[in-house]
Amino acid sequence: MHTSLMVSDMCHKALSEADIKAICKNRGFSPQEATSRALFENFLLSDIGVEAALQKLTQREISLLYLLKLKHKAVDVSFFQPLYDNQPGQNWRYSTFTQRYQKTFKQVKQSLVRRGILLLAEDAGAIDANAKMERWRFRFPKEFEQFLPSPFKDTVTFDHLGEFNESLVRDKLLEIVGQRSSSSRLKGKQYYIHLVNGQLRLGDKRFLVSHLQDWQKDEWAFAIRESKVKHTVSKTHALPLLEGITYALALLKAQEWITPQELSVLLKVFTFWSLESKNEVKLDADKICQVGWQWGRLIKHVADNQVYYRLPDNNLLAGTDLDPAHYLHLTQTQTLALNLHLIPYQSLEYLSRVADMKVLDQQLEASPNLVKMGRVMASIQSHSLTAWLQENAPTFAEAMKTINQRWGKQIVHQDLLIAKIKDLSLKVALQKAITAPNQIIFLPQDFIAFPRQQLKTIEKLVNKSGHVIKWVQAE
Amino acid sequence: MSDIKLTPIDVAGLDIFTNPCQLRKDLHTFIDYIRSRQVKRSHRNNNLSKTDLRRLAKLMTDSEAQDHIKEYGESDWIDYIDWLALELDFIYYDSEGVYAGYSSREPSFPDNYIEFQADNYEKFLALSLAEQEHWLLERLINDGNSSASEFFSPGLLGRLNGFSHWGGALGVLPTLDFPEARWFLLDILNHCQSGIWFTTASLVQYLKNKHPYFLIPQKLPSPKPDRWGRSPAPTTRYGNFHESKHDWGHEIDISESDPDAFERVEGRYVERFLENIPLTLHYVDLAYGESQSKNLNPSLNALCAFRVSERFLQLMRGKIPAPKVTVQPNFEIHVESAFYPLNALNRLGPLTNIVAADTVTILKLDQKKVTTQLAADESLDVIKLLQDLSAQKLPQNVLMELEEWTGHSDVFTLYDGFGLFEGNAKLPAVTDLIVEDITPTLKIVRAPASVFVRLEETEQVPLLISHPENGLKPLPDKAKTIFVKKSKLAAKAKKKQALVLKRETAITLHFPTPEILEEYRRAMVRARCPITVDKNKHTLTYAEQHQTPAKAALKAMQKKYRIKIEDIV
Repeated sequence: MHTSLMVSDMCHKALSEADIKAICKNRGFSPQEATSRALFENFLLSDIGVEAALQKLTQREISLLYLLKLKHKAVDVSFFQPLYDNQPGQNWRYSTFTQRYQKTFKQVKQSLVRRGILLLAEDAGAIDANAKMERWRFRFPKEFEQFLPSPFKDTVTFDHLGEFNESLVRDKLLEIVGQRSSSSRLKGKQYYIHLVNGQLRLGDKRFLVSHLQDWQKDEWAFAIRESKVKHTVSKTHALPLLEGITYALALLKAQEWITPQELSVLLKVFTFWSLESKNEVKLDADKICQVGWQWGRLIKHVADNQVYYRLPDNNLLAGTDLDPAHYLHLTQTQTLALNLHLIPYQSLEYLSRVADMKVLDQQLEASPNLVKMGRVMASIQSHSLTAWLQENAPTFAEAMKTINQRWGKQIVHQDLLIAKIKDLSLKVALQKAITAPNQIIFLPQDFIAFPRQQLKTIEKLVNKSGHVIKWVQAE
Repeated sequence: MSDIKLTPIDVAGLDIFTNPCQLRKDLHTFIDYIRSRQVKRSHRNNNLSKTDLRRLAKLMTDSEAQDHIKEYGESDWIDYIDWLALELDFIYYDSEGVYAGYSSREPSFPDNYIEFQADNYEKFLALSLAEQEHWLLERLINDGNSSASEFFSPGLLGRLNGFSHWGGALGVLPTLDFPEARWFLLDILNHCQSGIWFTTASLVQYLKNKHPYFLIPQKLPSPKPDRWGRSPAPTTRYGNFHESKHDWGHEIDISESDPDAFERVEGRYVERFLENIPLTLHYVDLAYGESQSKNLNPSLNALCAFRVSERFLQLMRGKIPAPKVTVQPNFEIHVESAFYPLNALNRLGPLTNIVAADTVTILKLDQKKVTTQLAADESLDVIKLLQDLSAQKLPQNVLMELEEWTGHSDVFTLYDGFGLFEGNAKLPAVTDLIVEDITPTLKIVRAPASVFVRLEETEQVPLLISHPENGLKPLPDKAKTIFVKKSKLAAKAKKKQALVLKRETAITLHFPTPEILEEYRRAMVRARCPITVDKNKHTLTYAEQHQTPAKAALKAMQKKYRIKIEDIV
């Protein structure tokens, strides 16, 4: 359900007069603002009183709203059940949907809807939902997200870069020159880094830093599985564990660090970890964070024998400001030799996009490729490495000069419609009807070109003028 | 058979029946329907869905089809057309089904879509009118299944009841050659004069006298021993046929020695034959009277008379005239034909609207349709088509108008699936893919992606611009193009857009009680003033421009109340 629809439905149908009074009290609306439901509807999504209302929530409620924020969609009442009714009765399994969630619904309405921070509406389009309880939908509006207080109780601020473990990722890069990575646990070809026809590839994809990060994540997940830490979550609304950790740590402000114990509180809500169970399964946040650090997904800082973690600010995207002379040098054959121990990952991606690569005596070398350069010309113009190559690598400088001379002179347009109009009055009618510059272009010799979206309008005009469209279809 | 002398009859007082449906037209309408959409048959009983039946009923010539579908959920006529299309191999669908489980008693028909058999249909269309009619007739006549023969299955449009199936699997019945008997009877009808009513009894009498063994041979086949080697009772001539005083009973045997045995068996067959294939195909008209055996089933000699049509004689004598097409000065095309002129109508249909459909079909040339067809098919020459079909010269005004319409068809030529190339068109990578020259540096090209790849391979550093559906993509400023560039588009976007807002002022009156609100509401309604009333809040709202009737209504209420209006601040 769309937010505006939900607000309208909520204000005109779902809420009782008592609910509206409660919301007015909690949000601090004046009597004039609630004179009518139509007026009230206009003020509901305003920021009046939102911050104060959110401050009154419990830590778990705030955490759950963060999860709802991430989902960015309306949810049904079962989403809140682990929070408000974590000990369902013995007959829960044999109860109807309404019986199961009656208690939760009341709690959500009392704690969140009547506080004026959660939208509530009945989804009439939910055709597979027979009971009214099944059709209720809840949404945390986007307008309120900025007022959400921090989900953490106890964070520590350090002006420290932290400890980043890059060794395993560097180790992975050496696969290119034939040294099989000793650290990688994932077998198979999905993340095998190698050269195909001069192109650097990670598995079956072109080498990209983002793919390397995917590899890190998968290695992290694999290592957790291997170390037999419970990691699977089966609840419908739950986040996968690693996704939950990443999201939780991303909520930290700059220079804020937390302990694994603090992280586990939030993580339990995100993953609905044993929230329903009396016999709580231990969430080994220490182990999970330690493995995450090993694979370069987290950075850590040790102070007073306590380990703190956060997401790395720089990670694999850092180092592009390093002088290229440290990791690139010209060979006798005028190719560029790359130092895989030092080269920033972004620079390696850059070179793989503009150059052909080969391995000679366990040394990765790059030579310019005009086709590749032409494809990414616009995006590399302002790259710092481009300037360095033009000054220090003659073959690259020569190639870039050629590209600059030729670029933008041969243009192929596709996915557009072209037409020839023989009737002047029809042409004038089109000029009057379509005025936006990117909706039609009048070409010489009575030709026009336009995007596919305009076809209906043009078809109508042609028919209206008593003509028909003669289609010439490409084979 | 030249000695056939049948007795003419005056049919006054008899119930005359002429087939009101047009089988051939409906058959092709049905095929057109099937080929233009995906039609799925029902899972359980392999019928057409009710939605399809309703749509088809609107297109068919059977005027009762729509009522039948509404009342019974099916139409015999549409079912027959559907069956015939399958028999003629114009369509295909699974008619046997699968047994869904071990205990299934009936087959199921999962995902049973009707497939149009284009090759067979095209083959049929390529035949002459006479050949088409023979194809149709042969398929209907050559159905040799004895249990589905005229003895037992009443004709689609017929009224007579059939014999009981009891004992039909044994005896003489399975050995009868029904197709041969049907051809024989058609041959007899071929010797009748068209347009004259003859008694059915005289036809039966003629058969009894001259061809008593046209259906059941003189020498009956000896019965085969059963699986245990026992010989069954000897076959009797009429052992399969029984009469009854009840519907579908079989208590009265017919013996070969009965003097009227031929009339009671072969005679009944002739009646039922006439109201089957010949009636369905418009070869005969029929006249019904009272059954000769009032309390006996099946009815006897209830079909009193028949009349052979001229079109049947033309068919049998191989003298079907070609459809006569005449183009009138008022753009009407008259197509005259005894049989449905499928080929002519197929060719003229896309260019015309139907004005009337009977023995003479009247069509009218439509400018929009003609220009659309001309635009779709460059090789189409409408004037030549009409000249080929028409027996006479085309009227001069029609000729001139058609020439003008031809010019209209290429006013707007749309190139779909092509690309535009800007640059050096002399490059070998481009030249052979050019479709249309616009300027020396701007060309319409086919396979734009291939052009791009070729240019890349020759290190021309080309730009490939994929334009999204919702607008032409602006090009980089450095590109040499006539398309809009990014900076220009951004500059245009910065210009303030004109915005016209329309304002309306509404006045809301708050009433102290619902009764007074109701009084005022009635007064406003009497004055035909548009208002909105909120009964919960006792308010009434009207637009400012309706102040005059609102004031008049208030003035009327001043007779009863002392009214003071206060503005809410």
